[in-house]
This record gives sequence, C-alpha cells and structure tokens, in this order.
Amino acid sequence: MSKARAGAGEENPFTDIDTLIHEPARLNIMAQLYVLESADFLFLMRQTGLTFGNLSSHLSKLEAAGYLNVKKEFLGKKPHTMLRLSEKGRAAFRNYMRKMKRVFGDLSGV
Amino acid sequence: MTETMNLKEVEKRAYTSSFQDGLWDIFMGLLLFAMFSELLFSAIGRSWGYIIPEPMGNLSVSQVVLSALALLVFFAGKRLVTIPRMGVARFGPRRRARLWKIGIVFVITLIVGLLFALEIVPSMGLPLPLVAWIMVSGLGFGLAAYLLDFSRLYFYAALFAASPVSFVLLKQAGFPIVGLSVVAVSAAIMIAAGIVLLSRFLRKYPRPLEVQ
Repeated sequence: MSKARAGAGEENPFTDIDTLIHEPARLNIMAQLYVLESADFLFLMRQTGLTFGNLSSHLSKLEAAGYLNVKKEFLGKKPHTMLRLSEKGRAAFRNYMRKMKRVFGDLSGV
Repeated sequence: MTETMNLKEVEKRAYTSSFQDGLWDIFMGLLLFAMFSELLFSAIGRSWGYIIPEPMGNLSVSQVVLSALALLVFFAGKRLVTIPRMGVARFGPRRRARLWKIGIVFVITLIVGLLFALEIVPSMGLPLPLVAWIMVSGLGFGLAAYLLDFSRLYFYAALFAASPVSFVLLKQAGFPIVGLSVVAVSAAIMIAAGIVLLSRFLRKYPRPLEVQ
C-alpha cells in the first residue's frame, strides 16, 4: 500500500489524477491521438472499438476541456473532420502518464 | 490499470490496420504476374507484342498494361474500399521518416539493379539481370517489410526473388513451362491471399451508416 499521507508538504500520487483522461474509453482515445498527428472520426471509431454515439460523447467532453482540436478538411471533394490533440491535451496526457507511472512505482512493493 | 501502456504498440497497430484490406497482396501478385506476363502469354500462343523489343530492351505491352492495372486496383481500392471503411489518419514524424527511408531504399536498389541489368558493372561470371531482380525484389521488398512493419511482405519478397531463379533453372533443365507455372502459382498465391483478406475486411468493416 502506498505510504501516502494526508497533510501539507507531501504529494499523494492518487490525487490530481486527471479523471477526464482516466476513464477507459477516453484514455483509449487520448492514447490513439497521442501517437498520431491526426485522425478522422471513423478511424478513431475503428481503432477504439467504440460505437458512434459513445465516441461522439467522449470526444465532446475532451473538446470541451480543450484537449482536442477539430478541423474540417477536404479529402478530394469529401469533407473530413480531422481530430488532433491540442498542446494542452498532449501536456495533460504526458502528465497523466507520469502520474500513473508514479502510482504503480509506489505500489511495486505489494 | 496494471498493464504498461505501450504507445509504440498502439501506433504500430494503428498503422498496420491498413494492411488488413489485402490490397497490397493483390497488388504484389498482379505485379509479379505482369513482369512475366509476356512469357506466359507467348507460351500459350497469345503474345501481346513489345513496346521496346529485344535487343534494344524487353518491355512488352502486357507488362505495361498489367502493371498499370495493378496500380489502378491498388489506389482505387484504397480510395473506394479502405478509406470509406477505415477512415483516415496522419502519422507522426517517426513513421513518416520510415516511409521516406523506404523510398530511398527502393531508389537505391533500383539504380543498382539497373546497373546490373544493363551490365554496366562487371559481371564476375554472374547472370546480372537475374542478380538485379533478386536484389531489387528480395532486398528492396525485404527492407520495405521491415520499415513498414508488414510481415507478410517478407514472404512475398522471397516469392518475388525466387520466381525468376526457379524459372531460369527449370528452363535450363528443359522445363520452361513448369518454370512459368511456378511464377504463375506464386502470383496466384499472393492474389488469392489478398482476395481472402479483402473479403474478410469487407465483412469486418462494413461501410458505416452514420456520415461524418
């Protein structure tokens, strides 16, 4: 068990975990977009295995938090909505990974 | 969450998902068939003729037409079949750099292959056009397989490299038709694999009803 103590001066690794990213479907979405420059909705749907409605709902939350940039482009004559992580989103994801590594590092003795 | 998140695997899985459509397999099979098409058609008395006949060169009508068909099938397939079902992604600088490397590898092997094929370099007793073919197909496709993370391409590189060798050996042994059959079967294996993958891909990824 982690030796986290409540109180001033000592950071508890379980606090401040970004719960927006921590949800499994959104974590999957963030991971996909982190390793790509951009992707359209359909590509994300295929890679994450989420349904249309489910993915749409999660993307809305991420966009509302400023983690996603949405850009409408044209592929030939067909419109495509391309999604990419914003700088804020990338920083948030890196921060999340760092904190999770620390969480499991602290639990490694169990 | 107790599993380490391997982001390299996430990226690789995203990239290699495009190989599920079987179009690369069909393309490679058609390309191999195109390369030997004039020999195959001549063997059954149906030559398509030459654009650049020997001794100036060896470029037949069927090679050009079937190679163009292979390219058309590939690009049209990607545009009309794969993208509407899989969507579109842009990959990061690391993946783009690998794609550039593939281009460079192919250019270098093609140049070296041409030097051998045109017998500009000393032969040292080797059949240079054959050596050129093995280099371009075996080495070129083999390296492409590594850089693309496309494992089936190793097998196809071996089939590509082995086909002319087996044809030449069997022809020298007095079995030219058997040699051509080996080439035809190699091409058919690739095309058949591609068709099976494509049909599986179409079942697994129907066109989505929702329009984005």
